Amino acid sequence: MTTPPLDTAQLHARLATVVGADHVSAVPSGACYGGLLGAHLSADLHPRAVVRPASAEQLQRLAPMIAELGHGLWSSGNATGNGAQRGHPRKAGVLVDLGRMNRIIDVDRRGAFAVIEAGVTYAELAAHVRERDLPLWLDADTNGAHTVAGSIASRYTGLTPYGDHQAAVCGIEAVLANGALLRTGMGALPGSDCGARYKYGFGPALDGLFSRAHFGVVTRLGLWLMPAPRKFMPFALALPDLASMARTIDRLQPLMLDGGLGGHVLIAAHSSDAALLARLGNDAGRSSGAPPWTLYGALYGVPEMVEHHGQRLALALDSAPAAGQGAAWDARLRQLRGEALYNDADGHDACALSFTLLAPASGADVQALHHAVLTRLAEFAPRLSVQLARRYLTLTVELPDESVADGDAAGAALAAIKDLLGAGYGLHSSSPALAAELTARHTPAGLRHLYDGLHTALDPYAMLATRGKFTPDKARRKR
Amino acid sequence: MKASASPAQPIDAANGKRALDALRTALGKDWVFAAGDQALDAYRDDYALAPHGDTRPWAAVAPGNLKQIQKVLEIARRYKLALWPLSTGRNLGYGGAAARQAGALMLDLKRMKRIIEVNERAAYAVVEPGVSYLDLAARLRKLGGRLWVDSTGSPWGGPLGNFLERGVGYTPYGQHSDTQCGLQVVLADGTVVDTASGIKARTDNLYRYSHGAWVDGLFNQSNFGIVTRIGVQLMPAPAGYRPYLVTVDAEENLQALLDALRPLSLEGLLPGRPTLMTLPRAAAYGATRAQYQTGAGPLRAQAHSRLMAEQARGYWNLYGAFYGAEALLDVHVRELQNALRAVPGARLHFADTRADDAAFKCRAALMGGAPSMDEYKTLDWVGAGAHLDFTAVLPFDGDVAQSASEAARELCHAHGFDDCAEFQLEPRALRLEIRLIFEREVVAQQRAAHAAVSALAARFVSLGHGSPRAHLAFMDDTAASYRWSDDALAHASAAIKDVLDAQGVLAPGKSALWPGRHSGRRK
Repeated sequence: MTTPPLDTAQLHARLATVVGADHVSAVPSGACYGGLLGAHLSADLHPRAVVRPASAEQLQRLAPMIAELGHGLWSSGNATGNGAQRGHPRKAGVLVDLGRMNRIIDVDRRGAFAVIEAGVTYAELAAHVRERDLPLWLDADTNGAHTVAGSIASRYTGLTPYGDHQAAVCGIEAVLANGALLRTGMGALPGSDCGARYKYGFGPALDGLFSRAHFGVVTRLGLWLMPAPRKFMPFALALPDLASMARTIDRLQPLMLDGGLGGHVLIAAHSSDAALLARLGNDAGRSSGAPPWTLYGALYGVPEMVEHHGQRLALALDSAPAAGQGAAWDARLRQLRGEALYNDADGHDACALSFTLLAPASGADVQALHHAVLTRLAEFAPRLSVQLARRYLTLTVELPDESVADGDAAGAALAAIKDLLGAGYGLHSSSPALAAELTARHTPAGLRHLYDGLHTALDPYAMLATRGKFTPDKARRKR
Repeated sequence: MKASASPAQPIDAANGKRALDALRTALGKDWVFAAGDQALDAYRDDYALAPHGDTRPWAAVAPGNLKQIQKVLEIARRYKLALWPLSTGRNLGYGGAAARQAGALMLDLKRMKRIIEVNERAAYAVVEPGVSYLDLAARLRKLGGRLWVDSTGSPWGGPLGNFLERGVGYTPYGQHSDTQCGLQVVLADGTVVDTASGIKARTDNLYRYSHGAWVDGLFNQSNFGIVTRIGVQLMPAPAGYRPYLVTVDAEENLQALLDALRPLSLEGLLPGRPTLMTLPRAAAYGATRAQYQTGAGPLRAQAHSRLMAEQARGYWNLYGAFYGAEALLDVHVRELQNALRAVPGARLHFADTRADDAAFKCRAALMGGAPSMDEYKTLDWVGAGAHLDFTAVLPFDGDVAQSASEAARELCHAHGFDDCAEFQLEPRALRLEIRLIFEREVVAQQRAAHAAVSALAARFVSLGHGSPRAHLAFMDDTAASYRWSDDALAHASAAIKDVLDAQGVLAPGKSALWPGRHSGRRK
């Protein structure tokens, strides 16, 4: 299958036959693609070229070409690297940057959905909606330069009722390793205009294979948008200590569960708010006297319904929900509206070590997580934030770059995660520098066997991702 | 990539005996049913269609646990048997308990009926394949009724099988593909896969996505594995509940009704799965067609008028419900009333005036988290009735729905059936379910129903309205309609099938996934 290796110039020339010479280059110096190409990656695995296709059709031609050359195909929505593949190929190759595929195919006002290409960023989609004065809200990542598709592939979440980004996806188009272009759900029916309206077609749903994985490269997707709520009631609450935070979570849990609070609730440590403000070029968050934790949330909907739930909230919180104040509130308020907070196109903001754990939505569990994380990681000054969802909570731990220079921060983070997985908690996500190790250590045998089978089926040359050999029954014989 | 059925390879007598002996050793003789055993009669389509042909199984087994399933798989692989997994076997209207082809070994999971967990704080349950909605509802009632079950209209079916067939219910938890959380699956090679964390984390049934690829959807409408356990999110019993009915007399006002409802639906102000029934569909809950018309052929205008007058309903009848505290219910009602002002002849009714409405009683139960068997009374419409369903998905758009409804009615009438259809409202789409009710034992009617669905499928596919479910007899054609870009989706699914189940022992032909059909390369 492979031909004699090409030198870099020959490789670039070959790729240019598809996309034009202007759209092939070496990896720009210093570009980390959101940590995909960080220091954790050995030099021999670094891609030999970045190629920027303009269309799915160009990518369909590139994929078999890259396979024929015996190279790996890496992919990323754009230089921010959000949504970059998980489980990259164990060979150098070509990094496909989808940033030029940034057409907004459709934003349907009546149906409240968008159809967009994989390179469309939140900032671009927000501008499109704003310019047309559409009564629709996005639920963006904090970084507006993130691609929407990448956010979904990373399973990022936001704070509005559409904050589960994976759940807002309706229909995916993807290029497979063999160059096939497939659409999922109703999009696979020629002439259907329900591709972005109804999630399911006939037969197995492959959509989930294109997030947190690399079974193909997503080129387009349908995205549900939230009709602008008639009333929006944001609120903040200072929490003086961990115990009061835990108590508040227990009191909010029934409201979350029955849908009284439609979105997610964020509880940010002071250090987390301060880091956000610093990123926004504002050091107001460093002022003394700020509470250790601040809770942010909002109610969305018909005014009387919002007021009704506001009264329930007041009972749960022992005070009427009220707006916050200060620079951190201003930023979180925009998040509660689903707006991005800044644009960082080079993706360096995501290079730090971070991970997110899953726990039942209970105060005792958040205290246990907090204790375990600090036991292992206190020396690295972790920034913590909690998101409360309908049935679970997440704890995100970020280790600031400046504090990980000394010591084995990654090792300590892996140890903390191991402790917590052993205690029955789940792993939601992690930054690329930790992901490979975590995937290797913590993917259970059965699921790994299934993933190997799927890779064998969809990526027979292992050009998209490393995989084990799929031998039927292997996992069982091992036990 | 249209695949077609080929007969299952019949096992020869000597190997058949050896296979049965091995199965009896593995499971005990009481749980292996071979030719001549009356128990095999259970594995048929209760609403058989003559044109679909013979689907009688070769034998059946009922394993009691995971290890026994693995043993059956070993034997199936050794003797190249076609294994057809079955949870409760109540996929009525789509093939019931029957296999796609004759000669299968039915893998009946009815003995695996443990409710493994009910977590009241986080509102979910974990159940095995044999657990029915009735079983789960009984358990929840015993626990104090703080959680509701979202049952389909056939509550003897269960959450696991219904999820696998992408079924729906009628409360706000009615899209069962969206409320599933965690699966345990046995692959064809016997490997057990837990789709959540795989480490028995306490969040396995709280958070839907794993750390890696999200694979649960692979097992929907497929034959990639045997699902042996499912996590199902349950709805906390709301503070209040108010079912309602909207009637609209004129058939041509469907468009106005749906266009008025669409913004409410998008805003979440029509919770659950409001169901908009035609006159015959709603009337059939409490009447027989013979009361209104004798002789063959669809109901005539005069019968329609009488039905509307006597049952105080419209040609269109929307059954829905609101949930929450009284104050919230009142706001919901006001919003609905405001929207209905734009709809000529629309009337809003509540329970106090629908005491005699059998459809209201059944729908109110289902929408209120209480399983009801009453939907099956609709089959009495024609006497000893059976039904065959055709479902299509349309945009939530009054104009499109009006045209689709007219096309459906025309085709139903052309084949001698009444217009027994319903639109199920989702925020952005409508599911149009057309029910052909026929006399169960009358072969000519079976043929007519089969022909009607063929005609409906052809018409709706040509209009771009895909079908999200299909009877066994129509699975190949339905799958073939999703053919965009050189059948790319079907090729991908076929490639997965051939790797995960290289010998093709699992449910050959299910959802048109036949073994050995993957070409390996895109053309």
